[in-house]
Amino acid sequence: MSERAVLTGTTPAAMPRTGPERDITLLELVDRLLEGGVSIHGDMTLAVADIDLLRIGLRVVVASVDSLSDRAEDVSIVGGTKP
Amino acid sequence: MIYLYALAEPLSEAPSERGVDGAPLRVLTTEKLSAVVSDYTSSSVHVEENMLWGHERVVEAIMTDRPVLPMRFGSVAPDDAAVRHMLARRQKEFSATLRRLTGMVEIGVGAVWQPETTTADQPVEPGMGPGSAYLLRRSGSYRRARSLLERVDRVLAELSKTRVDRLLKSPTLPVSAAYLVPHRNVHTFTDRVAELDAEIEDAQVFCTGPWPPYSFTRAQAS
Repeated sequence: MSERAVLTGTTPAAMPRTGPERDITLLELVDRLLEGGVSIHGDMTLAVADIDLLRIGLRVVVASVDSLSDRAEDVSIVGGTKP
Repeated sequence: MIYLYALAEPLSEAPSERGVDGAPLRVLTTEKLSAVVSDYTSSSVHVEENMLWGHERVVEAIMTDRPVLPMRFGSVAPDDAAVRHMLARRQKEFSATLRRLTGMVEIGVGAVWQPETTTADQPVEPGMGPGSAYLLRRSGSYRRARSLLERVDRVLAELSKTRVDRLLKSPTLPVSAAYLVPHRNVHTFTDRVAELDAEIEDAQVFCTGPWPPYSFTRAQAS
C-alpha cells in the first residue's frame, strides 16, 4: 500500500512529534518502556503511577492509528499497558 | 530514591543528558557493570509522554557507542547500595545478556489494516448465531494476521538474529513484532520493510527504531 510510514532514519527520541508517525512511535515507545527492559521486581520498588490515565491517552493514540487504515473505529483493546 | 535508566559495561562518566525530572545523571559502577541513574525526589513515577521520552533519550545516549541493557520505565531503588547490590547479585545474567546484544539494535515492525467488516447481514452458515459468527471471523483474522507475519518474516529473518511478535494487538494492528538486528543490516532491513509495504496490498507495513533492545533483555530470550 502507499502512504506508508517507514519510520527509521533517526533514533526515536530525535523524531518529529507530529502526525500519525508520531502516534505509532509513541505506541511503540509505551509498549517497550512499560513491558520491556530489565525488571527489578523483588529487590526494588516499582512505583509507576497514573497507568489508568495512560490507558485513556493510549486509546486516543490507537484511535488515531486506526485512522491510518481509513477506519475511525473506537478501539479499546490496547495490549501491554498493565503495570 | 534512585531512578535507573540502563546498565552497561563500566562507564567512565555519565552522559550529559538530564534525567526524567531534570536531575543530572550519575554512574554507579561495580567490578564489571555500570548503572546509569539519577536522584529522584518523588516516591512514584508519573507516566507522562515527556517522562517516557526522557527515559528513552538517556538510554539512546548510552547506546550510541556501547551495548546497553535498558531498564523498564519506573525502576527505582532506595539508595546507591541497593543498586550496587543488585548489579553484583545478577552480574552473570546481565553480562551474558550484554554480550548477546553487542552490535545489535531493536527494530519494531508492524502492520496496520482495515479490520474485516462485519458479515452480520450475510451469515457464514445458515443458522449460525452471532457468537459463533464472531468467533469464526476472529479466527479468520488470526489466520490472516499469522500469514501476514509469516510473509514479512520470510524476508526479514535472514537479516536478524531473533524476533518476538504479537498478533492482533487490536483489530487494526494485525502484527506487532520486534527484531534484533545487527547494526550493519539496519539499512537493508528498513529497505526490505519498504519493499514489503509496497508489495502487500491489504496492509500498511512499517518499522520504527532503531530502539534500545527493550524486547530482548531477558537472559533466556534467544
